[in-house]
Amino acid sequence: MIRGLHTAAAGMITEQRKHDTITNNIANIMTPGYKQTHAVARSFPEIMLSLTGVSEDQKRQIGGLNAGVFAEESIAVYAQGTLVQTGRSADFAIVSNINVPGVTFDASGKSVSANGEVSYQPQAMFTVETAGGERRYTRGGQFSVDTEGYLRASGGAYVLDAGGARYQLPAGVKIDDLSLQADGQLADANGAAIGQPLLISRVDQPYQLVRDGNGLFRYEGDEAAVTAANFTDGVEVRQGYYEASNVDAAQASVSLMAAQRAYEANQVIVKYYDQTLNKAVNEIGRMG
Amino acid sequence: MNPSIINAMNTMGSLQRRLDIVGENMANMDTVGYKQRTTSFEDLLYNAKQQSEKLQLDGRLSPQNFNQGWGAKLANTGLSFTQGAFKETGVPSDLAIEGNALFEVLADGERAYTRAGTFKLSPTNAGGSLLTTAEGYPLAAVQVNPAGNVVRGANGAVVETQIVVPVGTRMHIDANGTVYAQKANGEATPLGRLRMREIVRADGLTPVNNHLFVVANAAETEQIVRSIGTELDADGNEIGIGAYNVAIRQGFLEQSNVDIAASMVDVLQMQRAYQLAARALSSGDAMMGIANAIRS
Repeated sequence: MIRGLHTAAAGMITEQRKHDTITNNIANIMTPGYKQTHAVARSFPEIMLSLTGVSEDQKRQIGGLNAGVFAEESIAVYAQGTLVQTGRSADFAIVSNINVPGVTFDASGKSVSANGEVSYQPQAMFTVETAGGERRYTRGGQFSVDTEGYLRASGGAYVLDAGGARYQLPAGVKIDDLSLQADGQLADANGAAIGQPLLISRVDQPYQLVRDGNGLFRYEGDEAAVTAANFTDGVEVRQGYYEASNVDAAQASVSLMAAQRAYEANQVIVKYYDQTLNKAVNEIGRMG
Repeated sequence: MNPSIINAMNTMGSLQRRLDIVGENMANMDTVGYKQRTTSFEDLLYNAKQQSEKLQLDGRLSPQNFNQGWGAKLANTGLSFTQGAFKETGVPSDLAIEGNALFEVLADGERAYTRAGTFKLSPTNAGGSLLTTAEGYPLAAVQVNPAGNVVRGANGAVVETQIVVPVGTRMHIDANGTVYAQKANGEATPLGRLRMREIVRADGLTPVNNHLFVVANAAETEQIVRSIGTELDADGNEIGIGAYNVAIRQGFLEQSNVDIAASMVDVLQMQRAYQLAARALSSGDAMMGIANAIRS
């Protein structure tokens, strides 16, 4: 009986986590480059119940039981966000639809092969470096140029070029003078290249990206697995646009209600257990 | 407290500030030389709810730990120096800049820059009228010779001056920024050339009051706003401000560059995002109520 009480409580905690995740999606409905997050719940490992206290030949197994649920992970949904035109020369948007030969991905970027192997679509990301020199990735392309000419992401991280150095505009050159070429190279009005092309990274395992705050992602694991994207296989960068958040307001509202009601349902179960315990403790065997 | 409530609270604060900025832009829709403030959002910090290694189960996609976000914040607040529309006034001391440049102003001994061309001619004790901003700060200019070319010192340095229009003459300014005193018979004498600055790093400009901008670190002035219209090319000819696609229009004023339609759309979007966040907050509150009602 107590087991069920804990199961319902675990359900409440899980729904709370889901609710928090949806709230964060709603919070970032206006954030450029934000990717909607999905909280994944998993049941507790199954336990086997069997009838005890009976003679050896009557021993019976009752079956499996999952004694609870927990919020296992929060994963980003890397669906392409809409491109919004701003005309600002320091706004860049990535259109990422990387083709992997022989693999067809569905809308969520997942592919299941004939023998059941699951693979995920690689994602293209801007590569930036924090003031401390750590490498981060982002899709939020609303950059700005600081007084020294460095191109910086919204949180202040430095945008990197193909050589892995911080991209810097030469003195006297304005970002408004430059236009982006198809290969990620910024060039002046005469078509002369200014600096090296921007470094667009290809992340083959996008779920290894962990959110780091300030609009950035950190790659968990070996950085060597992140390579420079090839502009011929489905990566496009546009200047004067930014990628809007891919959060769906209607879906978020509905999920919010669902999480709240599921939380309530679990609470009702907790109350039922409480009533049952009340009967067992206070009423059974009461005399008079 | 319920994390959803904290998250929604953070976000509503940020949305409110964005709305304040849009409100400021809309209030200055008719302010001459006003430049629209721009801003954007980014996600706030994340924390990881620790998980033991045993939770790295089959079918899991992401690395260990459950990541939880805490809302959105304002980021990338800046100024948009796009061109505003011209309005003809016919007033000779009204000047408008076409292109990406600023006038240089001497504000109480400091250098400031502006695009608000509502200037005036203030009478001086010595006779004549000084060209100043509406607040009375003189405009910086360089001396020119009677042919209208910039006067250079021994080392090629320009000589700074201020524009004083003599009594009995009218002020005439050409597209290059050279100011002439014009007599009734049409005879014109050059008085000086207005100092113009091209905006190279807009992020280095700080708006202060009276539509002025200043450069926080004076040593970086030339990097942030480059002096144009006085230097010479390889053949010794002057490079006009036209080479930078800049021109001065006398008798016109530059209106603010606030896009009213875009601002209205922004207000609507902010309002809806605010409502959604408020909805998440009340939903979080309801959940706390539910938890409270377990024992009732």
